[in-house]
Amino acid sequence: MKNWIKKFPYAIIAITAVILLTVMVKILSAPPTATPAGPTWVENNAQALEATLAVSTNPTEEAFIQSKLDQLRRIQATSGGSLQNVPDKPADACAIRPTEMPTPERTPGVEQFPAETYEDLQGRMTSRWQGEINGQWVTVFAGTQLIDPPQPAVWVFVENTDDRGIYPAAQANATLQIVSADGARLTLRDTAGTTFYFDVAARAYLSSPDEILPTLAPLPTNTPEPEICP
Amino acid sequence: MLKRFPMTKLRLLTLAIIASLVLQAPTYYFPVFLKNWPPPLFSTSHYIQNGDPDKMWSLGCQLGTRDASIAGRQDSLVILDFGKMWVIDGVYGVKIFSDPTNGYFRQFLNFAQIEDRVRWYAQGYWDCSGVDRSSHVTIGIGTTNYDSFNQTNVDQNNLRGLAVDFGRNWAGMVQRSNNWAVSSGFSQQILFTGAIDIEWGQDNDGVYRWNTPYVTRGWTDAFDGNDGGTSIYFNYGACIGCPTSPSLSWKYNSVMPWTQADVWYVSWGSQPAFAIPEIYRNDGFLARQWAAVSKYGSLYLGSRIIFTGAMTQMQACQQRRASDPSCDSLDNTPAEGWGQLVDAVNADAYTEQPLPQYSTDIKWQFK
Repeated sequence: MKNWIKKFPYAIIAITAVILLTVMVKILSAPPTATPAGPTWVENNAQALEATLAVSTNPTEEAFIQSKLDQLRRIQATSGGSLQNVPDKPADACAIRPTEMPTPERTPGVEQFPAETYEDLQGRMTSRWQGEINGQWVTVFAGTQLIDPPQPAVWVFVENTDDRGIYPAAQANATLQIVSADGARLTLRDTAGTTFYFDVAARAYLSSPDEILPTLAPLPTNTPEPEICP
Repeated sequence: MLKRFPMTKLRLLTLAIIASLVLQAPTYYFPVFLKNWPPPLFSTSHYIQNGDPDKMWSLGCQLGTRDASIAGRQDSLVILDFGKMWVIDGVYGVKIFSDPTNGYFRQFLNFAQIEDRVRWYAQGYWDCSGVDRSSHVTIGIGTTNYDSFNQTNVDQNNLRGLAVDFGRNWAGMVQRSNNWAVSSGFSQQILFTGAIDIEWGQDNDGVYRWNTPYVTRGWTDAFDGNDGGTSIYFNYGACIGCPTSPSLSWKYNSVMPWTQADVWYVSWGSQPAFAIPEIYRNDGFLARQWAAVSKYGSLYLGSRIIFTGAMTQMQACQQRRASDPSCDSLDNTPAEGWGQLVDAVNADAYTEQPLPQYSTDIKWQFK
């Protein structure tokens, strides 16, 4: 043995190098912890809290963070115990997709309702008109645009296109409400009772109910997003 | 030429033992900043505009499909923003965002329906993540402190009473959802939490529609009191008008008397509160505001905030840039938002923390 070692010192060096390399690989490739039971988020955040605890020098902070940590550990304990009843995954997920709900029947015409804030449209709406123009479904709201200063306005949305716009009525008072429609020509009234006319197809207010404006060319429909289950 | 050295059996044995110990030793890690950089893979959160089960399933399926297609274990946090809390004829629920595929109609979902819909999201994730059984999604069931619950009586005590009801119900819903995940076996990959977009200030027309700290803390306290110690919520709001340094004197205004102490409380100080703030602004200002809240907590309230992640709205801006001019300065990429938060909190010993785990970017369910 001794002779063999003396004879092959490079073998010893090589073996040592392999061991060191193995250690390095282990260090570099190791996950933060062994995969814990329960949600990853909880474990990761618990580790973040523990790391903060380790550097914190404030006893109040330590106690506080410990209480948050305890809560995460409780979550971990209660949500990690379901490994016994894990269901099989479906071979074809789309085959068990829930049935699509029927598209609600859409009634063209005017609908008035108590003023409601549509924060996503930055408006406070009082009424809606829906109808078809050039084969495209159009929704129009009337109300107040939530800008400074607030502005009575009409919103126009052409379904499944990028054709959408807000049309302020500078002369109107406070808010607008759609009171009736003749085709795509809307009659609106502001808070003071003044009547306005808006031609949806032309996207313009009319100076008189008889005014004729050219209809705007329709924009192309959007490319549909790929269906997850074609 | 290497020098030959003698090797006894004892030395050989010693070498073998040392090698064995090294290989069996606890794992050592490089510093976190080396291990976790670059930013985490971002997830997509959604403003919910149509809560139909098949639509919710599809959203969950999209994330599940993505995670399954990426090697290794993915870990995501998504917020499903169901809009504002709303009461109709005594029934509590939410008014979700307007649906462009249905005349911009806004669905009302009661609590049972919200619960059902988030389960469909979870089911979609489970089904479509396929053979990937290790990836995980935390689903934040989101709402907001915006608006007056469909009330004409906007007295603060009335609104707070309703906020308390909602907070209690929200915690119950999260608990029931997690119980369902455990009993159905999905909890291996899914965790439900609450989530709330807490903000304040006036709308652009000068009207105050967000709620005060008095009302909002009704929600957070009721959530805390009814979470069974096992549910949490994320605040994914903005720190409106906040300074970029801690201030004991700062208050938003007399109508909306939010202070940094209030922000800290609803984002971290309350037991179930965790924070994944909106870091939208391109110049990093919002991140500095949140770092200041964390420092305020560190200096005056006993704890910095350990941020769980950052939220951005890059995709929402891509969808609606034309109708939202604010996107010009509020469209951080997920990496930018996350990086700004990291830089802001780690610029100060009072706020430094391990890297936030999550990056999520919100978009509209429909363009």
